[in-house]
Amino acid sequence: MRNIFLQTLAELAVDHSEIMFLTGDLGFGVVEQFKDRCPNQFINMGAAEQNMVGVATGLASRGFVPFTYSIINFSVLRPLEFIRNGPIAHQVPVRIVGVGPGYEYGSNGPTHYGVEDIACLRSFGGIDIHVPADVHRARAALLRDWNSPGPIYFRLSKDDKLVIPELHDATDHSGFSVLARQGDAPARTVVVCLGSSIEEGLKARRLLSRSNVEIELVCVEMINDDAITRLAAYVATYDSVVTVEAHSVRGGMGSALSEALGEHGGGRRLKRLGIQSVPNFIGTQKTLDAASGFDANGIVAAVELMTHDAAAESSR
Amino acid sequence: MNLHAVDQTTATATQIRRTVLEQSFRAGVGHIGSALSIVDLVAAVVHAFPTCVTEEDRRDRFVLSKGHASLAWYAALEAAGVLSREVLDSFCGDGSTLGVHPEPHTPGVDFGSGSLGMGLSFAVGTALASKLRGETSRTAVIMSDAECNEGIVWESAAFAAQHQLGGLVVLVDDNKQQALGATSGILDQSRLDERWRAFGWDVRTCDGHDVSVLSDHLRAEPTTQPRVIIAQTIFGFGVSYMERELPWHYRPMNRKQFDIAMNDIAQIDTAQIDTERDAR
Repeated sequence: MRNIFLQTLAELAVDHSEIMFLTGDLGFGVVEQFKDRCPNQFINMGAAEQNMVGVATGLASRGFVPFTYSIINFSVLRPLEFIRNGPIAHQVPVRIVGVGPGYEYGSNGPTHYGVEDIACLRSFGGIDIHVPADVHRARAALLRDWNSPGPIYFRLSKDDKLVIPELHDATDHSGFSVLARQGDAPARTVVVCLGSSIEEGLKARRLLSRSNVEIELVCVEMINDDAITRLAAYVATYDSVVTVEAHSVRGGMGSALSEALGEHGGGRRLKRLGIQSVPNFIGTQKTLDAASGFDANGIVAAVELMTHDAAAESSR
Repeated sequence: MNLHAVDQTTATATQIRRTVLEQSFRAGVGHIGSALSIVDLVAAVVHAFPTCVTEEDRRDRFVLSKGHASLAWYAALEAAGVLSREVLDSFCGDGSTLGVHPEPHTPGVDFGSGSLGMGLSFAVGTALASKLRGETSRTAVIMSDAECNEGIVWESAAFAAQHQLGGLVVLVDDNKQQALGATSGILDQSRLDERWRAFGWDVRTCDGHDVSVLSDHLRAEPTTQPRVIIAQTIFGFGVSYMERELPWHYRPMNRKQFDIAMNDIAQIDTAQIDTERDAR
């Protein structure tokens, strides 16, 4: 969704000279479309991500809307303190763009994995985290919120072809969506997927339906206190909850939901799927997602375990 | 710089110096030596770039990157009428908006600093904004010599030179001391001027307590190069027992020390004015 994001941003930037695009010397083959259309609004900051965020904060304090662009680790973790003391502390409209959640940079190894970014930013508060599920949602999120007053983090997949048709007739809850289901058999378990993890959630639903296990599917595309509180209220109507995310299970969306659900007092059974620890081998994203257990098979196993535990409990 | 302007700047420096001592004594806090080190730099900045204490959109910007000397800047803001005496008297008190380091959202504070090295990066952003908008507004930064230990300073310095941000002017408070000792024994910066020059900056070195020379460097017509003034300062300047004495990075004054300090700076200020008059 990098391409659609840059293409949309260029469309906006043509009419809005306050938009600036800053890259930490990354984005070959992607950022050119912006640079070609808006050369005076494009700056290659060099491999200097701390300065990129510092300069963006200064620009934003003067009425610009700067976007800082790099791979997640270099967009968020390297300049983390700058994000806290800059756009968050001063509440100015800097947009941090991080590419490649989870294991998308598979063979590049752990220095390039996007594992802890949400946990870090969520702990600060004062910044909205957008995790669009597909290319259409990435475009829509940018068009909707590019000019909102506070700082934003856009967590974008590299996949430029990713389209989730099921999202189009999902019920929108502003920040999360509930996907439509065929049939009216009751679902006791809700599977809450972050961003494009919904693709694996849909595969899991197909696999589970073969054994007549129904699940509700929720796609989360925004993390802030308000959206998570409403999400907790929604999932509290189910017996059990499985969360799925290309992120550490410590501090991610699953953690956020657990906290909110705990305070909600629902006492629901909950399993967080995501990255427990980064494997000591490299591989494709598919291999690494499976190794960490948050692909479709991992979701199926978690749901079956939940269903089994619930049945055992009710028979006692 | 004309006589009248020098007198005004010197008078502001005198007022800031007094306020620094009075407020740090009243609040019972340290960082006095660091604040006294930059009093003349602050006075020179507020007179060279008077719009930096206004609320105009196209005004000059000021960043105190060595945030631990905030009291010197708060004193200048009070002198300029931006902060009331009542607010200043809350410095370091419970519930105050004025802490040891400048807080964001405080009137007259463009950037909340305290984490060394960040201020220059922000200032590069505001200087870039002025250039992109075709404005002549300037951005001034005061940073410490020890702050140049931070790698980010050099990320920012390289960018500012590359993008010819001539509206940016940095004053390095070169008092040759840092938190645990002399800079020469920690990360030697005796060739700081050469480092900045190598990064493409217009480098000037001068007496950091001569407001006339400082003002001339600040007011000199901008070029395409960002400018750095390596200001040779004395840590704890003006107070006999604080000058170059590391503990005054931390210690608060007792009553007796405060009385001596006020007496010392009264003499220093008179001597400074006399010296400047003689020089003319």
